[in-house]
Amino acid sequence: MDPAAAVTADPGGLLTVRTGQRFAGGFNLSPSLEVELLPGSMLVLFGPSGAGKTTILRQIAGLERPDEGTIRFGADVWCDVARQRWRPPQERRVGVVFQEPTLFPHLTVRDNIRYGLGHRGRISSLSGENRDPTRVAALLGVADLENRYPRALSGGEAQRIALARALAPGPRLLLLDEPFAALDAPARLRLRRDVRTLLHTTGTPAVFVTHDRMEALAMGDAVAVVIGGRVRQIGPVSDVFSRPSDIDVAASLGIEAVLPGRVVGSSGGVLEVSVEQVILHVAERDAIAPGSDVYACIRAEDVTLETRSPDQRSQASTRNHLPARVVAITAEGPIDRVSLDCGFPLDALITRRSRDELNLARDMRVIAAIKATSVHLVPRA
Amino acid sequence: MDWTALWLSVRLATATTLVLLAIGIPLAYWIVFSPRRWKFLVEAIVALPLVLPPTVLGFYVLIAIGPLSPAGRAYARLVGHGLPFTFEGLLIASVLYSMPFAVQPFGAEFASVDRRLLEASWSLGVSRLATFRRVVVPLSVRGLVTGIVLSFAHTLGEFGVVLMVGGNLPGVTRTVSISIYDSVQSLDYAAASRTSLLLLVVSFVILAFTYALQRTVWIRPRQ
Repeated sequence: MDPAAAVTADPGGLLTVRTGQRFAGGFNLSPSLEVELLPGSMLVLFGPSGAGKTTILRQIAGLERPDEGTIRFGADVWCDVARQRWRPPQERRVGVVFQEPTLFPHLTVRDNIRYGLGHRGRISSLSGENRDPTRVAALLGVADLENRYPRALSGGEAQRIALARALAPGPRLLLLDEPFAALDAPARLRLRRDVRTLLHTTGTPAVFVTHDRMEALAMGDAVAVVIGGRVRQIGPVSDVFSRPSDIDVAASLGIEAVLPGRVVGSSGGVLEVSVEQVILHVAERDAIAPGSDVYACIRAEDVTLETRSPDQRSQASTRNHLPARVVAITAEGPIDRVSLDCGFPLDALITRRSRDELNLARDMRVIAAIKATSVHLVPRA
Repeated sequence: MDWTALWLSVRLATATTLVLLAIGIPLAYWIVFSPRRWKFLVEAIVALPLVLPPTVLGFYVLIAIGPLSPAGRAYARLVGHGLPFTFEGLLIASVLYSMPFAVQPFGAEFASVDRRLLEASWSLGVSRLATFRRVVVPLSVRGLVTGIVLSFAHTLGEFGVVLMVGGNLPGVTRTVSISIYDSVQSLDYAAASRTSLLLLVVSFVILAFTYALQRTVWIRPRQ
């Protein structure tokens, strides 16, 4: 077989999940999503713990059987309860990586990676160079661990082997259930990058479950926000994060400031929104009538701090300059979170260097600058 | 020492253990992995010999394999003789009697295998049966050995069931424990004590081996 053909044999496909599953205790899972998974692209299932993300992933894998509905990928029907069609996990050609590395403890790393090969002629039909287990192991930097047993591996190494094992048979779809959650931060960052590279190299589309918004931003091409067992919003990551469809989505995406306000005016396409007597200028794509109640969503990343006085008009394009008082400064890794009071609570994320240059301290008076395009309005019901 | 009886007991225990391996492994697998709600009934039936007097079990087996039951009559028609008071009849009774000693350790060990390992295996395209062979069995070696050893030892020491189903035919159904009973009945205490001591030592060694096995956290794979 032509190796190039093998690599391009799986052009991704349309993933459709419309299912229902009831659980003891009254939790109802009824996800509905339809997304085109291009080769090497990643859909993130994002949401709070207990929202049902993992169960949706398990339904896609065939490890969980929905009570009703359908699951399709590409031309294949994986589950159609009404027509009594069900493909067991063995026939779906998916790779699954769980939260904890579930390596077979009685097998060496080499035998773990090769475990899924040699069944139903998989290795012969998918022996393109990027599907080669040795190459996958090399890409993941675990080739020299081949003769070890899983108990002699670190958490990060074990999870890399689990990834190599899932990818070795050349799955059509890779399913990742918070695979980095049990790892320390440096290992997590390295693996994130390596997984992205690997998906692009092998052309494998993936579905990735996480409740970590940084991870969702870092990993995802598309994101589906799962809350209370439902997919509340789905779309490209930048769209969903910058334009949450409703207040629950906005809150779960961690847009720190979700401020109740009212549209009080509009001029030249820019809305004036009153939040706690403070007027915010908001450039909103959708027309919202004056008088409407809205939530103004402001991400801490989009708030910049200045120390000049408000009457010195700047030449910058930023529309909003809010006098504020520094309430607290907390370190978050290399970033500082500055909590402000500008009539309403607001957070800003800035680098340590900026903090030093501004000589920021508690109770200091600053100007919080926010671009009109960085404020997103969610109409209130 | 009644070597004939001892040899018979060893043959019976070996045959019983082999049969229990063949039916106990699938039965334990079914009990552990079946989603059926009523499987607790099967578990209770398997465990019955633990609490039932051997004479009661023996009585029912005797009735079930004898000419009073259709199955017993069918066997007699097929083979030419009935099952009671034969080695085969004894084997059936022993298998039932020692069933929990095989099925429970097997099942306990199967259940302790991390379910996500099975799911990982299925997702890698490996069938349920192959997953059982390649993952569950290698990780259940301890429970399998325990079950084998316990059913062997338990069959070696059975008395009441043998008496009910097998009777006391030298070389056919007179097992080592019946032989001891006979020795005592005929006031041959010396013979009884020799055979008893042998059984005691064998049983102790077997149990010591089993418990030693439980202590090893993990049977190390070849390094």
